[in-house]
Amino acid sequence: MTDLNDRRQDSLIVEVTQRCNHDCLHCYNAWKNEVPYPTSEELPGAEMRGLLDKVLDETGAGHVTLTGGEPLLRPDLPDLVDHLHDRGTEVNLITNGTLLDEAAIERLGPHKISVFELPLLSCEAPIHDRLSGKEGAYDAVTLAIADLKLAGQTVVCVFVATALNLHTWAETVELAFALGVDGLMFNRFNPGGEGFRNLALLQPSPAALREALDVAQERSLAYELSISCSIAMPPCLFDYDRWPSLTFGFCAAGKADAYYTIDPAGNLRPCNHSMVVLGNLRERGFWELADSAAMRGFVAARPDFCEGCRVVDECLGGCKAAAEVCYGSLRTCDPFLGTFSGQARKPT
Amino acid sequence: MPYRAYHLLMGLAGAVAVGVLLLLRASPHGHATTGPRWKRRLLDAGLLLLAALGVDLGAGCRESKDPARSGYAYRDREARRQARRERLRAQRTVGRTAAPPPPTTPRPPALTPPDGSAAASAHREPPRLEPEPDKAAIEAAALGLRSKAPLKLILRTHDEATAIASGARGRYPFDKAGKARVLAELGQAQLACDDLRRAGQLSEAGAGLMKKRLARLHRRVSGFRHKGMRATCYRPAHRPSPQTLSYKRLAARLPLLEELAATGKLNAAVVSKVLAAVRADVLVIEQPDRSSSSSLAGLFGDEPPKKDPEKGKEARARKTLAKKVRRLMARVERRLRRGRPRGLRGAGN
Repeated sequence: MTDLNDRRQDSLIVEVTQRCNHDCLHCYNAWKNEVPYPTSEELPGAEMRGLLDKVLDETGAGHVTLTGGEPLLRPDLPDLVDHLHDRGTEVNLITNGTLLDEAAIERLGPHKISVFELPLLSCEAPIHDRLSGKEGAYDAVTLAIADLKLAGQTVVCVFVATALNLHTWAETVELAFALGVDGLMFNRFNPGGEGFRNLALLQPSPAALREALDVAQERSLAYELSISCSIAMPPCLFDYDRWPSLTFGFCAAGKADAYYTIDPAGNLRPCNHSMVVLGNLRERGFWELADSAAMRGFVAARPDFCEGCRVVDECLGGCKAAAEVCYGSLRTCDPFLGTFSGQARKPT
Repeated sequence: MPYRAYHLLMGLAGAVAVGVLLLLRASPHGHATTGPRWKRRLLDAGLLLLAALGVDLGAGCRESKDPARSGYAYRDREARRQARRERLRAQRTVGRTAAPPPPTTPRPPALTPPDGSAAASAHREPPRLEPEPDKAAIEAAALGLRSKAPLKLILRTHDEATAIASGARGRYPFDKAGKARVLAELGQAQLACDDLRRAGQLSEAGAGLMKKRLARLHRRVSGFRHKGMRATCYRPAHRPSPQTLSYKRLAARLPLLEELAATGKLNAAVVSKVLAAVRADVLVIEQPDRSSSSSLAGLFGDEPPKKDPEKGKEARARKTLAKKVRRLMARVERRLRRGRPRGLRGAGN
């Protein structure tokens, strides 16, 4: 009989630094929470490479996403990319784009990064800059996208859907298409860290999000552009059948494509949104931490609200990490589902 | 006979049998797969008998009235599981303390969970741990039942769901409809277990074990995302170029680029670089062997002409699109030269 407990981990998220040159209103980084993060340590290059070798050997993961903070603030990032590339690991880079000029792209090497993920928060420079907390961020990111496409790289842009920028979504899709991006992510604002402090300012309504998804559906067909929503959109608030061209993602906790995240000091967390430190990978094995009671609790938890829902094991009840970060409980609805639970219709 | 003595006798008999086989240097597997049919059938029957006894023991132990007599395997396992659950609860509490401590200062009103479950959030429930069904007993039950025709649905569904849940069929083995079918069949299989139990074809213990296993599979398959639910932040859906390159797309992109440049939403450097990238894309599209390597090219209406009656029509459409793209490129370039494009604002650090 096949063992149902066979496990593997396909991918890892690595936060290479906590430092950032932006101050995004919606930032969810774990060290931006009210509760202080246990460490601000940053492993030096050689140690980071050694740690990644150990974890990649343990998990067999063939894919790593490098993020931060702003990963390009680490001068040894090209060495890290080289190292991962040499061992045959696929690498994604999440960056705000301000440091990604022609020289930086050349330093990173041709096609060593599979996908560059950059924010495109609006087609209006002032809105993008305001959300990024950095004047000139819009010009910098559009220039970086143009440079990357000129270098023949694959670029996916991320639109974080907030109440501040949602009205510019249709034009932003056009901008992304005009720039020649290869895909677009429509991620609803998921509070945490700095974002939670700006909840009232940024949280969009389900109705506004549905309208935006209608636009996404129409534009994705018209432009043959892939648009995905990787932040959980609760099925009790969104009927996916209405948007067949879009791809939806869910919390992946407990699955082979879970968002296990390694922070700059080598600590392992259940996902990039979560603030819970499972332990340090320099001292303990990956599976030992993945098997820990804290992680099992994270995987098993469902919001009380979702009790009896037919699809709860599929959607896992929205973003548990956001619920925990904002309200201190894995069994509370995340701030989005919680706010609009009155409108929810549980799938039957 | 007390179950403990029964166990001991059975164990002793098994040990003697194994000893004899070892002394004779016999291979049980070889005997079970080779030789005359009567011998293989005899071995099969023996194994089935042992399996049935195993299931019977499990059921009998559950019905025992004396929990203090803990020589029963079932009770042992239950006790161990209970202890493990307690241990995990304790560890979990300790594990949580490794995380940053919860805030001690009262949170502002916005921090109150909007679903009003602040009281529920004050404490964390232990993880819902599912006890593992006894695989050996299930195997034994399945072995004994395999020949009965009405059980085909149960066994087929069980095998298919097990393969899906274990990941043996790949990460995203089915689409939405396929997943719904497997889940429906798992539900039917559980009902079939009840039917067989009522008909006396399956013991209560056997049906219980199988239902438990099927319910667990149902949960696992439910949690498995189908093909349409695969986007993650690090695996965003995208169509990699150059497959997506086409005159049709370029002809749609360029007017948008022109408009963005005209309204000052893109600065001159960006527009000029995008144009350079478009020029490079045109070169890729013009490559004569591109059609063979690009399966998606045909979707965008610009694949090179094929040897069929449509040849002339397709070639003409392609030529028209190519002309349009060149015209649009020239227009955007002219606008760039003529206009007063917005300069870059400070984007440094």
